[in-house]
Amino acid sequence: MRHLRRTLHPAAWWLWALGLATAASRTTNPVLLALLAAAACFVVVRRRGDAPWALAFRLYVVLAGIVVASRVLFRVVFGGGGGEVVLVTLPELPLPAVAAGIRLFGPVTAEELLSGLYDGLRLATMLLCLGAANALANPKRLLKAVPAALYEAGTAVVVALSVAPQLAESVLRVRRARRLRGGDGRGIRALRAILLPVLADALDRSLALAAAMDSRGYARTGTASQTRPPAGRPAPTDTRTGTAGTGPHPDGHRDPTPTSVPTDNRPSTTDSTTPSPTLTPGTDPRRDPTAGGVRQDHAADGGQHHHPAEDVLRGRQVGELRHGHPADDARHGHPTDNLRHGHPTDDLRHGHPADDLRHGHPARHGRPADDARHGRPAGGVLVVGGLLGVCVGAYGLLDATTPRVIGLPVLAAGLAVAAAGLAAGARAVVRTRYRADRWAAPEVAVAACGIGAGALLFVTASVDPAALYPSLSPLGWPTLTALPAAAAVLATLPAWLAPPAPVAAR
Amino acid sequence: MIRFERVGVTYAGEDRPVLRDVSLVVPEGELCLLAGATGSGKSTLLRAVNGLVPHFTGGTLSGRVTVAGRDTRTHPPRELADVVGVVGQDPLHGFVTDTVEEELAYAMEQLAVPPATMRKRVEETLDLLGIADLRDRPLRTLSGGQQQRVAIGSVLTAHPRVLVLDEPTSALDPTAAEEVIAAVTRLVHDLGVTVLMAEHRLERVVPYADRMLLLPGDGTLVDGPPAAVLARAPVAPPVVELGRLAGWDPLPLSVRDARRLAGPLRDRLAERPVPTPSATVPGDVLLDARGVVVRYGKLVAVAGVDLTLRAGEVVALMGRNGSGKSSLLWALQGAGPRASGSVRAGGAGPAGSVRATDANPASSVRAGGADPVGSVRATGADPASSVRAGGADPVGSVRATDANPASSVRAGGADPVGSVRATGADPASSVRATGADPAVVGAARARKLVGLVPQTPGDLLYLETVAAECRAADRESGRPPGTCAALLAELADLDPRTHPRDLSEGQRLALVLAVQLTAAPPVLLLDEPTRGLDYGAKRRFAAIVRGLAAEGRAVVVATHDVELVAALADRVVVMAQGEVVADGPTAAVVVASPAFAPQVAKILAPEPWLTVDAVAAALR
Repeated sequence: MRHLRRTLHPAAWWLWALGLATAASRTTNPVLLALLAAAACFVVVRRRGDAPWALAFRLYVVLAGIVVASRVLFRVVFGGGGGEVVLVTLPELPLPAVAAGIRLFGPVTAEELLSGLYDGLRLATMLLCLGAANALANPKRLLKAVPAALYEAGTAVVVALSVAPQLAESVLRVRRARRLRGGDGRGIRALRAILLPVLADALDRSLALAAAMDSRGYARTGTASQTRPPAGRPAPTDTRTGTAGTGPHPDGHRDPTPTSVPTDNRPSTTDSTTPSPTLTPGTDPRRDPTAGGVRQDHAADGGQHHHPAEDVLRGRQVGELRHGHPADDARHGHPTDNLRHGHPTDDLRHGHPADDLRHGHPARHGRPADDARHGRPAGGVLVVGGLLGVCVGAYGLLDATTPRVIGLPVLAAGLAVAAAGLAAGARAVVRTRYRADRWAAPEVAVAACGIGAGALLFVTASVDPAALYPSLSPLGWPTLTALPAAAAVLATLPAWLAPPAPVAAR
Repeated sequence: MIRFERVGVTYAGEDRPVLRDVSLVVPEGELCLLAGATGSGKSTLLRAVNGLVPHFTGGTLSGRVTVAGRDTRTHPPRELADVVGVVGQDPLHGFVTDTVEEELAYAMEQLAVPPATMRKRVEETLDLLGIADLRDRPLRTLSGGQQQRVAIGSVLTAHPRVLVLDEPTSALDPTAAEEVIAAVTRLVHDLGVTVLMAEHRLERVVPYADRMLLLPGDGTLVDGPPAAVLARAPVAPPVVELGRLAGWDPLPLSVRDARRLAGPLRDRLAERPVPTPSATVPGDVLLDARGVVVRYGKLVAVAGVDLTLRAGEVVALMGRNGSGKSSLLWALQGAGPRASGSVRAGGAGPAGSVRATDANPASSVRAGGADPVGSVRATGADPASSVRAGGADPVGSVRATDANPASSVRAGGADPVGSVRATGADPASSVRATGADPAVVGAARARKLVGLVPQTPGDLLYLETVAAECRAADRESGRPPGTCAALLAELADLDPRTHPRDLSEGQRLALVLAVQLTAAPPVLLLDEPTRGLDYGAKRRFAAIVRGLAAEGRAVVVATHDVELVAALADRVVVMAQGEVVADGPTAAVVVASPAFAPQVAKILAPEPWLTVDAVAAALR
């Protein structure tokens, strides 16, 4: 099957990998586990790209090997020697009477070794599947594919991931600079000498980043771009107290974290016809970055919501909005998404006739801003509740001893509730996605292969459990029957079904 | 396009307004240059255009700021994102994503631009700014100029009507700065974007500006065409100052205009001698480095550099970003990695060896053997060492213990420090034999041999007040209390209770300089000290460095600032790809170079005039 080189939607790879990991968790048959692990490795080798995160797969292989070896070693040392076939007898180390129940070394039986091997192999295979997902799907791309309702959380994670290396760099730089001051490198003083500049640096950087994101439109709630001043505009010489802060200059001074100061406390300002946000006057956050940061969020929101002139402005403009469909690209397959006055957009098949170069009317999809305000908490509650249900259901599914009612039904119910919450939250959000990963036939195929492998093993567990759990007493050779073999083959199919990864142009 | 109506800004907790009654109108499609001393309110003005003042930074804004018809009182910055694009001073701090392409698309995503349009605009912007081959690169691997252009591109994709730039070229070498300015002027000319740019190094931008705004520092604003504003401005680029000096009318703003008027001036100067920047003859070798190699993993940053530093000279280290200047300085100090090569630092330190040329030839003391003179060794382990600047240095400590009466004859007054002159012809052999390697002697001794002020001076400061930093510096250097504070008082006027993070760029530099000078090192290295300093602060800084050199130190300044080099340096070392490409007197190295020549040299070429002060002195 000749495909154009492109990257698959990250969710497809993760679904495949999770299906495989579920399948591996259901068996201790070493032959089957080895087949599944081999399938994962094969797919990775055939379908990964050149990016640096893809090359980390060998670390997972090493880790898997360590897991197996440590399990076996654990059994050898603490085994207890149950079973009949004794392979070798190691001298037993006596322990004091308090640890009478534990035996160190002693006779090493085949049953113990094999049991350790099977357990270790199961864990290692699950690890390898997750490593395969990491190597095949860029983790950051996965964050981009997060549903719109969780966008802010996703952005926070993305920013944290990019800040962490900057922090490390900062620490190295400051440590090097400590040497310039004579580097008396011990004790609290040295720690403080490194921590304070690094933290101050990180704080400055995060404020600069926040200003940059704000300037580029992060967290817009969708006012239209054209402006017509509403009637009853206040006179131009008014004073508007913004989110007043202690921050001195941006010109090289520190700490522009805002607090709020009610206007009546400031004798030098003129009267404002518009009330300032009524927030509690804060303490001086000059040396208290966290307080200032939190207050800033509230202040920013407060400044927007409580200002009647703004509300008038927004209300009028909002009335002109077209109540289109949400712009959330996560729900693919809706050709009417991203409508803009009736022109289908999405990809390059259709040109965009109304594209205007200079007059900057960005599309405004989604509900008016006041819905945005009300929709968010409800959506959040639904999402959290749904995710809890998914957790419980997944646990029930994977653990064979829980009653059946906790497995699949709860999982399905949780998924439904979470989806409803995401949909509710998505309507409040107004943004589009650049070159979003599409969900096409190869993605469905790959995901189906993984889920199918897991499902086949579930079926085998109810039909023929002995094939999945080779017996240790009496010791028996593990066998491979038809259904598990089919599952392993299914797991390998994405190596051909998925399109090859693009080569990086050098 | 941009309209300020009687705007005043006061930050909370301050009694003085930063901006007072500022009114200005910037018409559409103009390149507007904003100048003013540090702390005069440039950043505040720029941020007020976007609404960051007061929505993000806090404070009180009176009056009205209108951009493209939108009032910033009712529009927070995110609502103005489609008309105003802001690029901050350090573009790396404003990047949200990982790669160039995603960064360009980020603003459009927030504005909910349809995906097809996004794709088209990203491609257009990549071409417009010449960064098309960088599209998949991670942002942290880009050079400074490339990052600046990506930052401009990232706000440009939203097709704003106004572009606000806060010191875009301060961190860039001259060539990269020209690229960025060329991109910006292209935007103004081809796309009709209104650009408002704040810049300290006016000489780079003035030729292209349509309008100039000057903030004198008392909160008001002077507004007008560049020639009119600069004619009366207290600080101006060299071409304007030369024009004022020579009485040219109309005042030229670019080198080309000035050359057309410069004929008579060249004739007048033809028979005058060109003065050299420094009056002292360089003395003994204080630092000798041979074959320094610095490697970071596989990347070779410095590939075998030889460098000799003499007392009393100021050396400028120039080269594009990434040529290895910082790595070399750190390796010379000993705090940075050095893969191979040798560095020997030593020497008599300040107030000593400048007059070595007229010392009694019998005063040489052989190194090795019974070395009696502790003055060669720079640090305090030997109680006879006399490297401390100033102070009540016991004169007797310098005397060679072999009681050779001729060994301590010094011309020139109560000079307690003897400099050692080797009998060999190689002037560096004395420091090679008796100097110490800063990398092996430990940090405390190394900072008494070689002092380094890094690129981000704030990394060294961690205490609560300026006074506490000074006390810590005294303790770390083993000097009597009050030394650092005295040095600081000479360098800048600071309230000792100020928190170091509240200082301006120039003040922080002065504080760190004082901290490093407390250890009285004979060699002083400065890494990009003038980034963010305005003309007045740069002039004061140059005077300070001249003073340090006159005391007998060797000073190395790594910088991109061509005008500073012309005014300050005796010798210029140019590095590229980790190697020294040129090393010679300033006039010889910079005059004919297109990238490193100062404006005066370009105007009066081929005569080697470097600064307006030199021309003024010659005309007198």
